[in-house]
Amino acid sequence: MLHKLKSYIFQELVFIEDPESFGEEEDLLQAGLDSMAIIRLVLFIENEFDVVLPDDELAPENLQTLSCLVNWIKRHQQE
Amino acid sequence: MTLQRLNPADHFTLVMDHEIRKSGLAGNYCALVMELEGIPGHAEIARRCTGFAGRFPRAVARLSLHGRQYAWVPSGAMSLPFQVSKPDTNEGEAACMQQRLLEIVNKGTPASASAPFELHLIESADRSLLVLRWFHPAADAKGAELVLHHLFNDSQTTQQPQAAPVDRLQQQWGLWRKFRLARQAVLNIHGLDRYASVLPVATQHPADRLALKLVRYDVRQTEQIMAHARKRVGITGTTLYLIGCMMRAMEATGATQAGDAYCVPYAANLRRRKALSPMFGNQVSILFAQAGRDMVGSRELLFAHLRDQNRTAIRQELDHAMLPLMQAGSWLSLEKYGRIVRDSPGKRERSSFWFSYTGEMEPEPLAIAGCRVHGMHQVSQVTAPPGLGLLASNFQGRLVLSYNSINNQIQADWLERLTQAMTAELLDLDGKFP
Repeated sequence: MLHKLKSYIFQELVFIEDPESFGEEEDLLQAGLDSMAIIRLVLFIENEFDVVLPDDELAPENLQTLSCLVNWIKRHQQE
Repeated sequence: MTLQRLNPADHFTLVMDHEIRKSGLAGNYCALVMELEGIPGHAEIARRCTGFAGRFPRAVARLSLHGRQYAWVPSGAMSLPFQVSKPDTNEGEAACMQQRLLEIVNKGTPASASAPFELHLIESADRSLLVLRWFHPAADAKGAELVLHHLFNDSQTTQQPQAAPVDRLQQQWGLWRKFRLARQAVLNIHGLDRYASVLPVATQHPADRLALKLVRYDVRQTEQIMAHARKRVGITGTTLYLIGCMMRAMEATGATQAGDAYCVPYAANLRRRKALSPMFGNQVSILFAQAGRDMVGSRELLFAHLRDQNRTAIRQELDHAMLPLMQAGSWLSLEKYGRIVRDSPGKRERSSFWFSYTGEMEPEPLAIAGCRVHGMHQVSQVTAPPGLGLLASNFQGRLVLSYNSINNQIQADWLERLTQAMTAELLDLDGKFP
């Protein structure tokens, strides 16, 4: 899951020199994930991982880092 | 350089060029204006203009019609045009420099003879404006920022490493996917056309020239505005907050061409954030924000509506859907395409105002040719109607709003009241405007 998220974010949404070295706890919003990109990312996650992420949970605590994202997705996969 | 066809988004801006010229204005020219402390060396800038043209021949190409479609062809020019002017500053330095800037943006050249990019230096005694004027089919605003970066950066990059987003997306899609997306876009536009758009105050005079009014917010005010944006629209939308505030400001100011709803096209940027390429080509699709006048009266209702509309639009892939439609349009004549793009079935202009928000410059230039950059702003020609465009950007944590309007159609006192109402809206001075 982490690898797929990382590839999508850095191939489609945000450019960084060395995506491989981007850590799970690094700040995605600081890296450049903007409003439009966030919605595209959520759409990608819903299609790719067969999960529904509620719009009212679009908040920094769920999107700030890759590990936040993974936890958010897993919480909803268990529902 | 070989012949390079315009992508569908470039062609769309060429249609806007045609429409702007038809209004009596210069053409679809924009400017990125860097405000410098001091005067940079002319020889240094000229050297960079020549070096840049050598590395990127497309920056000096010219438009040419090939069959039924337009393309960039080599021009033989060896350098980006570079001009220095020292306006007489008797009537106030800032006003005279802005007047010169507007002369540059209002100078018309036939589309086929227009340089994609020109550099101008407007000097006063101890400061200057470095103006990158660009012809919109050549690049979008983020591309223009990259041109400036590569022009004054010493990296000597010569190529664009990856396929441009618009081309890449189109290559990924099969024919049926394109049909499906185009149909989505048509349905979306038909939905918008159920309501007549509110248009700004306007007269029947043929358009004369573009005027510019800048409103700047300091770091503290900008932080306040961004906090209000997060509160009202959530993590997903400074753009929507700015658009919503402008709708409310227009409503508070009063519009003489009343309609049922505000309708605002805005760019869905397809670039990867922080990528240093591609410079050339418009890498955007289009989305619309539309809100009925009944909603505009309430901040809560309006922003909740705009947020939901934006999320639904992206879930329905409307951010991509305009591309196949624009591709189909690029086979039409500019005249016919222009009519289809601008008019709703009642022959009424669809856009209440033009809008663009580019956020912070990326990368942010701290100095250009040895001079510290202390500010920036943007300028863009608009069609008439609506005769009004709002360009928003941030520089070093400060928001700048650039109101671009048609001089003899949008009255100065109306614009003044509009900008005051906009400030009150942005800063959420509750109670002042219902």
